[in-house]
Amino acid sequence: MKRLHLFFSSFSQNLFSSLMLVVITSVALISVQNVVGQYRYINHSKYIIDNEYLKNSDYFMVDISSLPLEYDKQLEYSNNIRENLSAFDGVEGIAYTQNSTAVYRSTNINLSMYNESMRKAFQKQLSEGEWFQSQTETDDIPNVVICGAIFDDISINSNITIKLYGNNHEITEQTVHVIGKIAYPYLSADYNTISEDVSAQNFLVQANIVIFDDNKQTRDLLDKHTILSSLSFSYFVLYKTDCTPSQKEKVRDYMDSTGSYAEYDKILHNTEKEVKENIVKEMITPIFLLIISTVLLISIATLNTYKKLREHTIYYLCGCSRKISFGYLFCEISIITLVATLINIVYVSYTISLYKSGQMGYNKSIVDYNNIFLSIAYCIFTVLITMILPFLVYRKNTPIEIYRRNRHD
Amino acid sequence: MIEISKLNKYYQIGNSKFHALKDIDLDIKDGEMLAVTGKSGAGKSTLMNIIGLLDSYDSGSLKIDGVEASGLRDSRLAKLRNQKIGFVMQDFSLLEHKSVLMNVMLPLYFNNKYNFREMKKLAMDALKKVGITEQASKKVNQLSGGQKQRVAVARAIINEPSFILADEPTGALDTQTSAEIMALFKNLNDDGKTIIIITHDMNIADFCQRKIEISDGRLI
Repeated sequence: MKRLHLFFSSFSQNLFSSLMLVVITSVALISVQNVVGQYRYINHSKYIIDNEYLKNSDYFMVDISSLPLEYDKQLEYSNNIRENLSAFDGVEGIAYTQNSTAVYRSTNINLSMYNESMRKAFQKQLSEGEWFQSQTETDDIPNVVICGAIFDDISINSNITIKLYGNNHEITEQTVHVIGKIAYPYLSADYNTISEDVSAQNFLVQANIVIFDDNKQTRDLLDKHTILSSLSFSYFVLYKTDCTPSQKEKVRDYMDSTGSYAEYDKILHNTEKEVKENIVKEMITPIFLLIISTVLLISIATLNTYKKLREHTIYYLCGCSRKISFGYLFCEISIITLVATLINIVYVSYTISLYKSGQMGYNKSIVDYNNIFLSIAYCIFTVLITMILPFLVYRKNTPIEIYRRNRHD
Repeated sequence: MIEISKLNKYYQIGNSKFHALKDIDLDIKDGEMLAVTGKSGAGKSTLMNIIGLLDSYDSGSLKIDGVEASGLRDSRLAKLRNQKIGFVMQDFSLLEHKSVLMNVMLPLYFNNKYNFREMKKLAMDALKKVGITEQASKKVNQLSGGQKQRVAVARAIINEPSFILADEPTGALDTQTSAEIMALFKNLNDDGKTIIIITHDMNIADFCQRKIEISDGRLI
């Protein structure tokens, strides 16, 4: 306690500059965390779409301007295009979904139905358990794959009950059996992007979602109790492995006539471009701030050491060893970095808790406890580097020399 | 009790060695008030630094209350300085922006004997002995030279050290204040405190029971 009192008594002389540095360093670290989170998100998205099925596919986007005005007619139009595409030689399948909404633990969640092509295209989404095995017609409880923070405490092979909302707002409770799980960052397929510049992260969204198998039984069940809609008017067209170039060309001609498409390589190219243009650009300011704060820390550490040399000579006279004396100097500087790191850790922890509780929506960024390693690494690096000059200054200026200098002054 | 035997100290100046202290033999008994005199550059401060465990020596022996100082680690020397020696310096060596009380308490921060309340009490007792209790809450930079030196003396005695080492304690003071400070030292010596005063001023040296002179690094 006494030593702490002495430390804070000395530290209080630099309070304002220390607080400023804490603020600058904290802001810099948090900004870096956000950009790193976005970069991790894009990389993870790339990882998910990097599979043999999607590598041999095109992303089709219907021409919105040619859609009929009525929603039912739009669905019919879109379904026709999809069926026509499926009928082409060389097409393995169409990876599309149908969606609805439900409620779980008083929170709105999404429902989705994945066909076999979807499961192939997004197989890497699954982090635990398995996709669907075929169910017998006597099975009452459909199998599902769950995704989202709200399901964190649910384990494989457990049953959960969700509430379905029907056409006339009637509510039906439906028990489902969990056979698979998509862990953080809870990415599930999203086809809402219609753009030639579509990139990997555009196909995925962070959400609370229950995924059903697209089979007759499940379709009948869900049709009875909820409203299934088409998932936008975009999807992946998966080609067969032996699909010839001319077959592919025919499919692409058809896609051109009814909308547009993006080849997988183009998607990857767009993703790399996104990283270079946006992420790298966004990283400039946080990195600049971090460099500024590190340089300021080094400067202030060195100036502080010079300023405190006389004070520490007095400590030396009163019986403080050089080691402890330098320890005080070390603490005065490293506390700034430590506090900034702590603020960062609190920020990450709080963000994670907000995601988990559903109080904050996801923002295409991965924020988890791995981010903290970045803060800790910066803390260790900065603490070491900021003490090099002060250590050299301290070693060179012994108490005797300081006293002699002051005496002659 | 301080026992110095055949003590030598060299300084490295460029490629050559300067022999600052040459075969110093000196015993200082408990309760003595000793003046170390000599011209500027004779080696007084060097001897003071070595006795005060602020600097090392190259050969010979220095014992403080039977403890040989050579070969001790910095932390052990710091502990000895804290427990055995009280310093009073020419420039007062006080923390100017801190309070008088905190300055006096400073040596107690570096031992584990007392809690905060006890430290404050001891500090007030020390200030009472030097006659400036009413300045306890003031900042040091608000005091006169004489008051500052009294604070330095209070800090020097707070830990009940074996001896007080004063380096030109009146160097920055006027004649009247110097006399007051020396009277203070005399009182402490009368109470049994061992006091070693480094000075070039023979008027100050006259206050002491014993005087030794250093010339060219030797005791004469």
